[in-house]
Amino acid sequence: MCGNMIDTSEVVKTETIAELKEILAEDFGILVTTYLEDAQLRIKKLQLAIAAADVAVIKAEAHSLKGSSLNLGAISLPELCSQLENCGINESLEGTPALFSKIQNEFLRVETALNLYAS
Amino acid sequence: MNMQLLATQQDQKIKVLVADDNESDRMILSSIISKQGYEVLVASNGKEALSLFERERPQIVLLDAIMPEMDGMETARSIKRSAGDDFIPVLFLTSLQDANSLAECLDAGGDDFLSKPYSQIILKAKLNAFLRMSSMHSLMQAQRDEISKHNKHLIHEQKVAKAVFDNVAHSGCLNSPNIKFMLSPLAMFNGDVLLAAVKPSGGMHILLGDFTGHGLPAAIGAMPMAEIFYFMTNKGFGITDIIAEINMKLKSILPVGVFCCGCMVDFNFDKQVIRVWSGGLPDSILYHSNSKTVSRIESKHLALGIRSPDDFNTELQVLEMAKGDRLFIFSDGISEALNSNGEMFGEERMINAMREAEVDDKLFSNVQDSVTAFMGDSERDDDITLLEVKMVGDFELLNEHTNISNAGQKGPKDWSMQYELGANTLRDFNPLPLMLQIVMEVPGLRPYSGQIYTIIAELFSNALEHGVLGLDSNIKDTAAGFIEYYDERTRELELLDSGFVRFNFTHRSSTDGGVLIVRLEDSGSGFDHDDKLKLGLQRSRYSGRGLPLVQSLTDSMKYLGVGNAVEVTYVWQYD
Amino acid sequence: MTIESFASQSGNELTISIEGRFDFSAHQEFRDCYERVNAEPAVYIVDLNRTTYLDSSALGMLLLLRDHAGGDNAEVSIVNCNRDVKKILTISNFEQLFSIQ
Repeated sequence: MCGNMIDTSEVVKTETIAELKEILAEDFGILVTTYLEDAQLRIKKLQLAIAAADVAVIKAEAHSLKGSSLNLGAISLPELCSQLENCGINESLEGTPALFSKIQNEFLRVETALNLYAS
Repeated sequence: MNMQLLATQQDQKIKVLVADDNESDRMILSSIISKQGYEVLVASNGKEALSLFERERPQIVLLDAIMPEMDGMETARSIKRSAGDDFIPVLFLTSLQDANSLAECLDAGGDDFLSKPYSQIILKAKLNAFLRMSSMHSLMQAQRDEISKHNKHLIHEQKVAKAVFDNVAHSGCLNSPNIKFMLSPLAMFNGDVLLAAVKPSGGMHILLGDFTGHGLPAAIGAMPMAEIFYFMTNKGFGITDIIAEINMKLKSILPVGVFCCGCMVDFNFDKQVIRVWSGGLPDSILYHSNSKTVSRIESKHLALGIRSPDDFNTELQVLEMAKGDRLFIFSDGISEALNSNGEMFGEERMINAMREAEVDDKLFSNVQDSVTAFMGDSERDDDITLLEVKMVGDFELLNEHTNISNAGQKGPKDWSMQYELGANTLRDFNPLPLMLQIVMEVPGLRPYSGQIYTIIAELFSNALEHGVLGLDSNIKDTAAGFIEYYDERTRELELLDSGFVRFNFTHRSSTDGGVLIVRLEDSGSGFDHDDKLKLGLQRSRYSGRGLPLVQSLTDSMKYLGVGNAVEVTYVWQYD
Repeated sequence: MTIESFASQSGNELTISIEGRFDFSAHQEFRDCYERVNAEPAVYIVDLNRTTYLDSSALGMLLLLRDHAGGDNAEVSIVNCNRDVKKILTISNFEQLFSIQ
């Protein structure tokens, strides 16, 4: 299926993927799966945390997602996570729902890109 | 090569602990690290990381800075504590960017960072670098432990050496009531030694020695010196013979450039006179109790161990020392003692401290307090060696300190012997130790060596001085007179070219002891012995305890012929 | 502490001068001055003009020099002593072995 055509190199850094493929070889696919599962879980938690105004969880989960996304070479996603993390640090929930939406969308693009790379 | 060192120490691969709460992160790191050939241990939170660390003892730790359940900083601190003395590098894994947070990581005990996204090259380089450092650290620790072990051995050896030294050097009478001294317990290591021994006929020999250098090399020379000192004093040798022998010994065993500054004093409590040999030490101070003044006794000679026996100068200084007077002998440590300003204590302060003492008995403690106060908090050099000897009345010591060598009951019991000395020998040979030695071969006589020595010594000195040299004993009535007499004796002896003294010993043993008969003959013209014996008991002390003493120690005493021969009988029982 | 030495033109005389504290740390350098010299001087001069202090190891070093220079046949002078240095040499009676000025 030709879904949304995206330029993968704008979503995920090609050098990073190349290096990861070199490091993990045939396990690269497993890494992508692991990351995607973990990320989805954290996004769910963020959703609940925002609704519950739980700043500690927002901070922790946003930070973790930022880190793992960086390691997979994501370009914009880490920055968005960082912003959400700061909201948690500053304990200011203003604009968090909007930010969360952006994160969800960007994540979908990352997911697509990674799956393409993994295939 | 060094990695091998670490690995072989544990007999397996190098272990790296990775703690990160994110599974994909863990995966990436695990892959990189195991591809390096290391064994990877993974933990997903701080608590897990710590227990894994304690169980497996990895060589290096990678920690996510922010984790649930004990965050990175706290974990790092705990791991470092658990590592103790060992160097276990801890690298923080972080996406933190700001300088403050990064600094906080290092403050928490972290050794470096690894930023996300992880770079294979950088991670490999850092692992290598830190494992190298860790290996160097282990090497240094091993060397340090080796050195520490060696050190302990050395200290133990020194303790043993000191025990041997103490047994040799301290077999004397430093604890006599008329002696006070200050000597560091580490004296053996600063080269200072104090010796004191009672002479068999009464009186005392004192020796203060200061060897150049420090430590065991300085102390080693002191042992033969102490042995000679005690042995010869005990046998009745005089100060001149002893100091010459010591110099000869030290000259032969010490390397060039090593020597011993020393002051030896012969105390004669009977005649209240001291004879001093001093080489290389600062002036000794003689405190006169009556006038409360001090005289200085300079060291006239080179230190011991420098001159060969032929060139060694045994000239003594002879001084009066009244009862109650005190002689202070010390090494340069005391005048060179420094206070915190770097000033030296000096001799003036010492003399002032003496002047300020209210009573004579406080002289020593005043000097001691003065030095201690002066030095205050400044580094103790442990070099303060100070001795005070008080002139007291006549000592009657019956050889408590003699080493009575017990060769059992074997030895000559019935014998007689004659030993004659001509002018050439009389000039510079003291026969008394030899004579005593021969008599002491009689088993059972040894406990009486003090008395017998006194008898032989008095009879010999009379025979030599009045008989052969023709000196008039009446000058000896005052201490000053005695010194004059002594000078004359030295002069006349040097000029002696004819005459003799003859010893005759006869010993017969009995069931419960024996009888020793001693006869001395001299080449003099004798005297009216009937008169003298009657007068004997009235003699002043300066002419010697002399003949009255001999009379009191013996069972019979008579003069023979024209009075140039005297015979005494000494009856003794087994102890 | 610094040590300098120089020989006279004829090589007959060697002068060693010590600046600062003359103590154990001078040991090797002092020896080198007279051991590493080509000529065999007949006369040795130890110049203590700028010497501030002398301890017993320095006395030992002087004895070693005298021994090297021929022992009882040596000609060793110690010159330009200040008051403190002179006092130490006097107490040790070193004028019996060296010519001291």
